[in-house]
Amino acid sequence: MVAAMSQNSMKGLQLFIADLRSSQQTEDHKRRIQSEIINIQRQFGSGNALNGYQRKKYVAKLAYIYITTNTAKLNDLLFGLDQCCELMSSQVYSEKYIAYMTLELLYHNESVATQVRDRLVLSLKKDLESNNTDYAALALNFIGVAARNDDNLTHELSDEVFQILRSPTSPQILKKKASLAFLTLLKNDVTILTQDSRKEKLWFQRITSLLDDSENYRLMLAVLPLVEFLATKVEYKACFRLVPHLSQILYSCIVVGTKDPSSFPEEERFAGLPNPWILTKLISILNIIVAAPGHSDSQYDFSSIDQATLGKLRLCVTSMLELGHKPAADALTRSVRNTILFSLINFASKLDPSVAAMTSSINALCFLLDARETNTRYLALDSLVKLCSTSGRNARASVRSEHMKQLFQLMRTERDSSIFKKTVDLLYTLTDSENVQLVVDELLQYVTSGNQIDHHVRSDLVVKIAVLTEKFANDSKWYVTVSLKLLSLSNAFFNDDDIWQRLCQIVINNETLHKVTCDQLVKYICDDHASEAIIKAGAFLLGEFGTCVDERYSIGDLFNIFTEKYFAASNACRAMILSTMVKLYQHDPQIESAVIKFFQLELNSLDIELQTRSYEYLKMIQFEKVSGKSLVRLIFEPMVPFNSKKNPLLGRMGTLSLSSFDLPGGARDDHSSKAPCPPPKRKIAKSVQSDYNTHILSPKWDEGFNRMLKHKQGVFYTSPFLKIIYRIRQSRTQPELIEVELTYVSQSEWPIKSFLTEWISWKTDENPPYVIKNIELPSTTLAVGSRSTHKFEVLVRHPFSLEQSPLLDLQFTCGGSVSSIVLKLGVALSSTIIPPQLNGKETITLAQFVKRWRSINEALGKEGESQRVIKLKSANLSGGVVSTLEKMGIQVITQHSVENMIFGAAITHTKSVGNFGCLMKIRLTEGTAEITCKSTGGSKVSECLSECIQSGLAV
Amino acid sequence: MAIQYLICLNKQGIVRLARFFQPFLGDSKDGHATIAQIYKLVSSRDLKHQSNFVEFSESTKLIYKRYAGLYFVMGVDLRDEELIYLSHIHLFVEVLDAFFGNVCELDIVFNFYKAYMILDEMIIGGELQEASKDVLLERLTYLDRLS
Repeated sequence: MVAAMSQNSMKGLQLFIADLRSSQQTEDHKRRIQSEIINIQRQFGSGNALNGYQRKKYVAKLAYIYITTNTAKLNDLLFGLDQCCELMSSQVYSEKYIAYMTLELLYHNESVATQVRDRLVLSLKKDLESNNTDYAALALNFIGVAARNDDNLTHELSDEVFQILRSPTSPQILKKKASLAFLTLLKNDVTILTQDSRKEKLWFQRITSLLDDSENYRLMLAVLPLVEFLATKVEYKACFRLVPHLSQILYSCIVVGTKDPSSFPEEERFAGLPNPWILTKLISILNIIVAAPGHSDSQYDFSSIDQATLGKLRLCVTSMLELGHKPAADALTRSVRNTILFSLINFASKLDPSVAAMTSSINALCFLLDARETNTRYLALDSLVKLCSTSGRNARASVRSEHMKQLFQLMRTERDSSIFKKTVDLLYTLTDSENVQLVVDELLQYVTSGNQIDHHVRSDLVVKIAVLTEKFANDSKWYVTVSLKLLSLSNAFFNDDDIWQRLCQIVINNETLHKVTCDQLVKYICDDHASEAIIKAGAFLLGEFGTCVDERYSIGDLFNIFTEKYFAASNACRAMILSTMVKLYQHDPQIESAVIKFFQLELNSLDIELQTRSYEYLKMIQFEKVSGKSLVRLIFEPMVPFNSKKNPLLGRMGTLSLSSFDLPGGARDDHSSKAPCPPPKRKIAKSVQSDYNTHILSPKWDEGFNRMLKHKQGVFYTSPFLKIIYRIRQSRTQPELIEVELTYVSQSEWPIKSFLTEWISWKTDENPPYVIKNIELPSTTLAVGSRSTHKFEVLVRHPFSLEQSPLLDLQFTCGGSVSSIVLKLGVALSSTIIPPQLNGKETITLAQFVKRWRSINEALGKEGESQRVIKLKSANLSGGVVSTLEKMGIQVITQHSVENMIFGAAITHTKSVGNFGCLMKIRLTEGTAEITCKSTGGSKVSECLSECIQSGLAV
Repeated sequence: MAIQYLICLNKQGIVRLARFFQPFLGDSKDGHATIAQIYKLVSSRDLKHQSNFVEFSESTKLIYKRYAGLYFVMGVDLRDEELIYLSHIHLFVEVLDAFFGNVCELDIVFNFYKAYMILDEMIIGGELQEASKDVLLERLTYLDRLS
């Protein structure tokens, strides 16, 4: 399809461009442009009515001048803006297009924007509302391209753009454009959505319902970026309920789409894969919504995702891994495949993968480390580093057991310095007390092998070796050997003092190391090319422990060695040696005359520090001689142990983590679990508690709520759209775990779509009273008359009041309208009571009741009691109350001695604080009931339970 | 999280197409200096032995590829997936090629307004709006006939 020369191709423009190309000399070029500008100016100003075609041609020429002069002529073109605006309101598509296109190019210049803004807004509004799809498309394109950072357009047009996005009658092409145009506006200012919370909720739902058709991949492509933005910047919590739906789409593409070619439209494939753009977006969104395990927001990590969805996501990873092993036709296919694989593996690490799954992910990544393309090696390594630092022990164990050799090999042979650096980072993360000798030996070997490496990389390596050696060494002799070897490396490797100082601290603090270290140090120092760091460490340690050295070296020998090194060393090092000499003198006063001679010589030093030290030390020795008192011993007392536990080198490691989690009983560093590359930041969630209170319950919620407290099954809620039936099951072995099954029955004559459920707990962090876990989610669409099941468990951790019972938020669209229902779940402390006929225990008698009542009274007094008076609904007194209590599982004690009095007993169960016995007396008088409840768990438990009874009696 | 800009340069560093979905930071003069830096960086890199992506600033990495005499460069956020954007570029070039019929630099020079039309049908708001080559070509043919 060669479309370049359609009839309407503006010959004048083509000639002008050709002209400019033939006059490449700058002078000619400039003159030609200038004369054209004058010509256009004359045409525009002549007062003659130009026809649309002419206007279009001249505006197009101005656009070309703008481009070809590299925007330098902007100020000479401003005169044409009026005509450009004129052209914008033309009713000929090609004329309108040229006007919009030109303004797309120019609009980001402030001088242009101020001049055209008002007319532009009018035109855009008109075109957005126009029935002509092509005009509306142009206006949406313009907003998507040029409206960034423009407050005016944002506030003037957001409603119009959203209208196109939500309207069921908009053609798909416009919906797609509107989605991205709206995204552009939203990026400018999220308050267009969030300033009104009702509008936010409604619009939010409209947007997510665009994903309903899980096979309309074309619309999805344009809507997903909008959802991604909402999850990142607006409210990831509200997006959490999309996880099952998004996972289903991912599953249909990856698992079904790759196995069965007919299940995915051919034109949506690229490089042999079902639309890879959609896949990466889906994974990216999931990655934003789902928190990593251990994150403070545990309500939004994998444990809140239902098992079916988790299973699908895990299958996606497996399928992608399998696909990775198949040969790929070309580099493009390979790279697209790898992109998806990397991001999927990265995301899957949040889903609590099994050891086997982790191992196969690691194997796949390591396999790609041998790839020929630099791109692939780089990304595989990047993924591996993330995996090992975020998902911890399993990942690291897997790499350690299988792939260390491969990593060493990569380090030795890699020529790309960024890959090399990443490899070292990974090795650093993988080191533990088991493999530290192996890793450090490899790294040392690399440093000393004379490889050409960058200075920074090398000094980074040296610091890493020092840290690893100290942290994980389990053999002190080995530690000393390695550290000294490091120090002995040529000065050029590192020029700071941290490493030798740290070594000195450790040796001083460990008596067993004194002799070993000194022996080895002497050997290093005797070397002609001993490094400055070795000399400094030697000056300090041999000064302290000179007498520990092998007897082959006398103190006099040491003095001679240092004298020799003195003149080759830097001033800082010389100052240290001067101190060493006094210390040596202290160990063996026989060298006195040589020491004095030396200090006298250095009195002439040009360096003020050296001169001062020499002078002071000289005076000290002379004073001792004259007075006979021991001054030197007093001043140079043996070094006291250092108490700094913190290794200063660690500060330089930045965010790289050490595998301190693997240390048996080792201290856990707070920073050790930090990933090198944190996942995208999400908007900080509002406090969970306030969230609970912002939900307004739907009318008549209390009927179902009370019913649920009394009966084990029944109707929870009815509306013209929906009927909800519930059934509660209790586990006999674990009574505090309550399983609930809700059945949603569609009552409407339209299908219910975008059906999403969400739990709102009173509190999810800091010791929550209960925890809810979804087992099976309802399907997102309910056909007319169909039903769908929702299963979940509520674990009661400690007693809570009915004010805090969980809320269920339901959202759906039906026949074009968006609905939301908020209900309170009738699950409370009383739900944990096991009815006496089920628990098989003997029922208690009145005498036992009285005895227990007394003993609670003695133990807790009024503390264990709660009292309330309630009005009874009907006049049927005792019979109704007894049956309510029995339905709630409370044992009613049979007795005939006291009239108008009911005695009840029950045991409540909780996960965290245990089980409590509860006793209650209910006195019935004239349509009221006075409940007195006592509990071994104190007044809180009695209070919660009598509250439940009150609700139960209200049905 | 999105494409920041897309620039098409020839081997001499002359800009043939440029689209900014968000303005360059701290560069008021239409990004001349930034574009010059991008050209310098991209043109100096080895085609065969170096990857197609390079970090450019605190907030941006470049994904680029050379097709004949033209460099196609995309600036994207640092944490975006590199390789998928390489496929964006590839798709764009495939569509240009099919639309103009064996596209060359001159096609883009003479029909700059059509090149922008293609771009607008493919990417707005920094995101891909259509990924199917066939669908794109059908739409473009329709729009071209309107002109």
